[in-house]
Amino acid sequence: MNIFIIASMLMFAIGITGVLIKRNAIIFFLSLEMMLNSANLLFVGFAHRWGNEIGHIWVFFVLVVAAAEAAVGLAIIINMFKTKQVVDVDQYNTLKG
Amino acid sequence: MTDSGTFGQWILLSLVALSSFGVIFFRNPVHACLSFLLSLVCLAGLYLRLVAPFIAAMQILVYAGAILVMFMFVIVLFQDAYHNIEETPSGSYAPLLYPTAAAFFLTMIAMGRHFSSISLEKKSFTRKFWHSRKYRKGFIYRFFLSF
Repeated sequence: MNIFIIASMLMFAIGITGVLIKRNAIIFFLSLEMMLNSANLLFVGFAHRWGNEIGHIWVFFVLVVAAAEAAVGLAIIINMFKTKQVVDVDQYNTLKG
Repeated sequence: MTDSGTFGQWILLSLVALSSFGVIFFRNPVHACLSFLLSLVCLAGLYLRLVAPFIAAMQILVYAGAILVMFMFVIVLFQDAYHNIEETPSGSYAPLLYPTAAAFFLTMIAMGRHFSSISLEKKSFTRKFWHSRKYRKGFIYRFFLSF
């Protein structure tokens, strides 16, 4: 069980590090997906430990959220690329107040 | 399954860690996507070790088969745009980002070490645990009908 907690923490830390330091929008979204994957691993690990299926069911919800987030996020990136011709997230400041 | 993990689990954990590092350190987005694919496959292996083969199959089908392919399509669309990306963050907050990321990373590792010392009550567990009937009952009675 411990190894799965360590793996989940490691993946979440790497994912949030990628979100913080990377400027490429594609890598940014891949890091977000990695953070969702770490949550999935923890759900399955604790479901196995406690012997119920609720953790597995939450994994399906997270899968749906990840798929929807990737679809919407990539669509936004494509539209922003048409406008600004860059995929650098620092350049996406249209809504900046 | 022992609490310290078997040799295969440690191999899978190492592969997950290395491929996750590859996602954020490869400069080429296609290489980053392939590294993420390796991470997904190793995670599916960890799910198999946790007696969740259906989750492992869904991981491969949905993540590797759908989401990652969508990422590859977008990379193909953007293939001429990567020359304009600054790899270092712009703005005055840039010097703060790397120490912040390093501190957060170390904090997460420390939290993982702390949680790994927690002993949880282990329930009885069988190979039929992942049966789809249980998923159906869980979906219908615990989530959908509860609203």
